[in-house]
Amino acid sequence: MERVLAIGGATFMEAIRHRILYLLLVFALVMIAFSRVLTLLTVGEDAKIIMDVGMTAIDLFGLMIALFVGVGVIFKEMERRTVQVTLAGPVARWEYVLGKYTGLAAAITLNAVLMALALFGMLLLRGAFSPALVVAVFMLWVELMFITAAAVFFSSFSTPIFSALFTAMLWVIGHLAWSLTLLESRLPEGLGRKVVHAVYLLVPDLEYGDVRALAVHGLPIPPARVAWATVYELAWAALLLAIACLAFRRRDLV
Amino acid sequence: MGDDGGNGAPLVFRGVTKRYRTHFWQRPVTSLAGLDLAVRRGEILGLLGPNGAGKTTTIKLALGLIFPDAGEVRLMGRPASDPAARVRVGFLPENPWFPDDLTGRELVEFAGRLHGLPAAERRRRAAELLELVGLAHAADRAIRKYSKGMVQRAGMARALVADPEFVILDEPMSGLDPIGRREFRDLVLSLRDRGVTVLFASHVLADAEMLCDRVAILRQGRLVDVQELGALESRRRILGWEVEARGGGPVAGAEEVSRRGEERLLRFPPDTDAEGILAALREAGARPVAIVPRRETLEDLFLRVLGREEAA
Repeated sequence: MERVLAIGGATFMEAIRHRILYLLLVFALVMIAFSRVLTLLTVGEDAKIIMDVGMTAIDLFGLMIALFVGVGVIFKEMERRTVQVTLAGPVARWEYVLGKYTGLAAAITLNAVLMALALFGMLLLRGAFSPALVVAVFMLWVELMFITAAAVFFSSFSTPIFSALFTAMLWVIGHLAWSLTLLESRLPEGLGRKVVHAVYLLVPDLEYGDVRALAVHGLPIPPARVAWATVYELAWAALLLAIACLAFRRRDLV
Repeated sequence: MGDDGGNGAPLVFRGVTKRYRTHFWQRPVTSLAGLDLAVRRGEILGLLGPNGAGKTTTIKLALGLIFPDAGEVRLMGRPASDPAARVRVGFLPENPWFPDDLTGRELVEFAGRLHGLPAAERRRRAAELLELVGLAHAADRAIRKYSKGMVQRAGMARALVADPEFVILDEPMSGLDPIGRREFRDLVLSLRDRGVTVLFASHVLADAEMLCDRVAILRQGRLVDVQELGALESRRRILGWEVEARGGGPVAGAEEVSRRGEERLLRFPPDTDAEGILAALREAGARPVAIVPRRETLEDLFLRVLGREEAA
């Protein structure tokens, strides 16, 4: 565990020194601030627009940080062969993979917290803050932990461009997976329905854990849904990391 | 060709073959074929060979960074892929790249952490080793501000952090100036004096000649020769005699290489001996100043072995 934390600490330091990260963070903060301007276009829905735009910024920029910084940090290690220097020590491959994930997850968490604080600050100033938002942002964070795991997973066997592409595709698939359940309900009993159901089980459903709309509209967020979605997405992350460890275990570091 | 090094050899290769495939549609290229070699405890073994001979592949196999297609690699008595085998092993890669935001001290301390040293011990070792490699003055400077030679020194300090029993150095002298090379050689020799085993890959034969007890010569992925060096200076082949003489006329059996005033440099064939040379000089009326046997250098040996392989 000590080695996982050591590698995680070094990765975190490297990630937060990444220029892209600051660029994305600044963009996100500008977007959150810009949501105030958008409220001028509507009447009576100011707070909802700020909430919606703010959380979308956290989601999208978190995803981009995971893609650019996450995939980039691992690629740089491979390209510059730093990974060889680390793994020539008494470090198991799985410790390396988990260390990288821990460091990236910590950097992404820090960014999500900064973006959330900016959003909450704006809403507090307008007296529109609601605790439900904390739950919605927490679920966005859970999703980012899953996306980070996917970035590490694809980086363990693929080139950075493909890794970023696959991770982004998984995010899109994850947010569209609910449509498979819709399709399944509309199909007649039979093979087609079973196939659609099987496909649904094979892809992560990220929409179930997305409770933004409930929070924005002040609707109750069922605790069971939050708990189940958290377990579900983190289990998916753990699965991807386990496969990444296995894939990396026998990979030649040339 | 390589013996098994007896029990407790820090590194043993048995019938190791490694093939690489750059793309899945290409045929694999054999980088190392049937390597049998053991590094004996306490020796400095030089791994020599031209570029592409398989030196770096050998080192990567030893460190479990790549895996053999056939055969077995054992490091410190364990399979090379077992991380526990590397607890008391130090490694300095060729042209090392370290996270350049770290300082020299942080680099060494981080390596100490990976090797499981407690915090106080890491700090103590880092200070001690940076002093040893001559980087104490730059210990708190970021690595990106280091010269190539300084990075190499920091890499050496990093390699020694866990007080290793076995050190693997890949082209360790590259980037060092003449003074740095000499200090590095002294450092490696001091490691051997402390009982540390050293494997080092190089294509700078002069360094290998000064340091190694044995050399293993690789060519196109095959081990073509293992030679003892060190104490066996007197057993090396004599390739000829170089004689400085003053005055006199032509000397029978010698080739005159150069002349400056009365002084001449003569070359005698290897089948002559010192007495024969003295007799020939006397006969020519020349006075001997120096008689030096020209023994086979490592470079001669290297070229002879490679030439023999080429012919074969």
